[in-house]
Amino acid sequence: MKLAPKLTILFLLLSIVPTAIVGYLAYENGRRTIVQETIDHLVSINIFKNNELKRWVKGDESSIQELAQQPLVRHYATVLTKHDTPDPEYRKAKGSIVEDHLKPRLKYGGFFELFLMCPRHGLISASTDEKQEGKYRDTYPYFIEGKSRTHIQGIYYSPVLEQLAMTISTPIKDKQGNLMGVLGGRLDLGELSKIIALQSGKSPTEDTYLVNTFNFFVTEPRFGQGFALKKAVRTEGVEAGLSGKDGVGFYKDYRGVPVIGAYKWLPEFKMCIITEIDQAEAFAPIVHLAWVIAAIASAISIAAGLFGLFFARTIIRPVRKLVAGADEIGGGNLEHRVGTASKDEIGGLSRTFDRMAAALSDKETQLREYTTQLETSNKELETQRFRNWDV
Amino acid sequence: MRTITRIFSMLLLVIAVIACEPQQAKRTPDEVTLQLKWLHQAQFAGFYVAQEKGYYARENIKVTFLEGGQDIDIAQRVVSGQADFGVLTPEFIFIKRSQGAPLKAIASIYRRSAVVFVAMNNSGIVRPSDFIGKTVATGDPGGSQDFELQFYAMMKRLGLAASKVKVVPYDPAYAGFYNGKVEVTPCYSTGGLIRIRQKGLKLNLIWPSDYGIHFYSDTLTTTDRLISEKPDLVTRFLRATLRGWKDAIEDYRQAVTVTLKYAQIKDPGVQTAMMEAMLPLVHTGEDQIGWMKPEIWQGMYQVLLEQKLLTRSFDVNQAYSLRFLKEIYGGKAK
Repeated sequence: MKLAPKLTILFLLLSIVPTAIVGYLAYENGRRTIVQETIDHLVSINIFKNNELKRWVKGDESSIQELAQQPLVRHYATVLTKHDTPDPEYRKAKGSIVEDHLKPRLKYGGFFELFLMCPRHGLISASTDEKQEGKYRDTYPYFIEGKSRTHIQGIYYSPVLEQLAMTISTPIKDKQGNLMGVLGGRLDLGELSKIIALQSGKSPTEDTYLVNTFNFFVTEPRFGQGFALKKAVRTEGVEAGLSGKDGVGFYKDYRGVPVIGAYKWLPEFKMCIITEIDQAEAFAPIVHLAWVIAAIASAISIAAGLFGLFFARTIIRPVRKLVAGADEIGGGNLEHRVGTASKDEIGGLSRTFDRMAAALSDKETQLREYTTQLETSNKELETQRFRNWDV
Repeated sequence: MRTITRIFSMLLLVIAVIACEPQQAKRTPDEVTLQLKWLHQAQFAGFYVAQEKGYYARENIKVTFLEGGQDIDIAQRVVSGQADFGVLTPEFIFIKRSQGAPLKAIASIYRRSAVVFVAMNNSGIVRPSDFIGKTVATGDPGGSQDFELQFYAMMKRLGLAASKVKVVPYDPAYAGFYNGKVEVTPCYSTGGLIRIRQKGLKLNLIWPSDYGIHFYSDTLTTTDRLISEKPDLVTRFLRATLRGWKDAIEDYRQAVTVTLKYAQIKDPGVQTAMMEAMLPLVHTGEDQIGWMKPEIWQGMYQVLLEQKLLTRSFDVNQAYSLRFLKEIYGGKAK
């Protein structure tokens, strides 16, 4: 192989190998940073939304507990429990509790219905929604549990209301601690939807939703309509979340699209929260980074190659001149001079070569002179010999 | 020599195992006949899903579905052995059992009754006490048993005099309700209610379950004989059925697609509406699909006894068995 390609390849190798190593390290580092940032982001969304949900419920929980402890509410609840429906006392108490206590509380927001249940059969004796009065709630968890403590019945489908519902209940007790009723409040789920649907940025695929212990969606996911309590989801993230774990994973979501997902079990709500982002979106900066690194590496390699080529030429040009000069001299033209002015080794070699040619040329001139002299002497000797013969 | 004998016997064992394999696979499946309560429709989606997804085949069961109909005595078909299993309402199980038929419920598919009483929303009728003095098409004796049953049970529970209600026969076309002659009509939330709402009417719904009347509806039933003779078959059939129902509930759109292969009315809109209406009845959000509670059975029995629909009293626990559900779900309701 000639010197020029040799040098070019050498330069290419010398540039590609370190660039590739540095590029790979930079890519790996960048990839890890981006993935970690994405994971941190998803996890923080779950933590944030969980806190928001707790704050939302806590506020309503405190509100209903405070209402249940008001002396007049306790008094009216006692009247409603101890008197029969047609009793004027009963009617008066019902009117007062609804108009003076329950309805005004609705104005603060949070609840869309507040109602009082009698302790024996869970009969709704008073409600801000008059249509609900007279119904029995004896089999409902919010009544059964609400008799002894403040209880939240997670999101369930109410066939009666024909919509999703969430109910907080708390006991109402008289001064002696006897149960006089259970106060229930249906939460306005608009707030919940707002919290869950809240977007942290302009991400086109970031998706947060809640899933209950039956694997059903509790809130609508971003890419689904009519899924809430109507469709089950069994992805790796959901299964992990429902088994009580907090973590992240790379898996296919409910659409079958590869995602990075963070899951978190919410014990207060007996649900898990899932936040996911499409891997295509999450990895887009990584792909971009790879392209940038590849472009930089290619540019460096091309530059190195060109530089190698240029450098090889600067070396080869005087060498070629030297070779041509040697050929010329070798061909007999001892007057030829390579004449390189450069001060490097090739220049030195050329000058040495020129000196050698000059020396050869001098020797030849001398040789010719000697030959000429010799011929002249020979001729003179010949002439003298003939003269002697003539004598 | 001993090593050679060992290798030889191992080879024989392997050959024997391989030879047994196809025989097992070819084992004749148990033939089972399921009597449905009515014509093929989304109401029975879970059974179709179990069939189409091969859950019955996996349990080595070959199922034949028999449709119900106006003149078909479903309970009798199960009792006579024409069908091994039937989809029946609990009231029929109780009534037939009191007459000596050895019927036993093994799982309740519809754990909430689909029975609902409807009135126009401007009628002022919002609760059963408003029925007094009004015309209610709750059904004449021998008609739609569950409408009548739940109506009288609800009135009794609330201490209201049913005699003060003008009862007229139930009309499945709801003509009287549309023209205003009937003020309240019962219907199924999975059928009639959808049709009434399609007319664009705004309604008040009065659910008997809001007034302490808790009735199961479609219940998987078999006979005492099959339970004692082939308990394993009962477990396998129920396991496959519950899997089918679970899948149907978890992805009801897919279940509708499967249903359309069987349904007489091949209208996806109709079957989807029915499916959506029945979802909360099958999946109540409380217990596992099919799970039954003794107190509900006791309550239903009490209602029938009070209404003198049972020819004799009997041990209510004989009418249902939790044994198979407990076996399948590992004893856990949730």
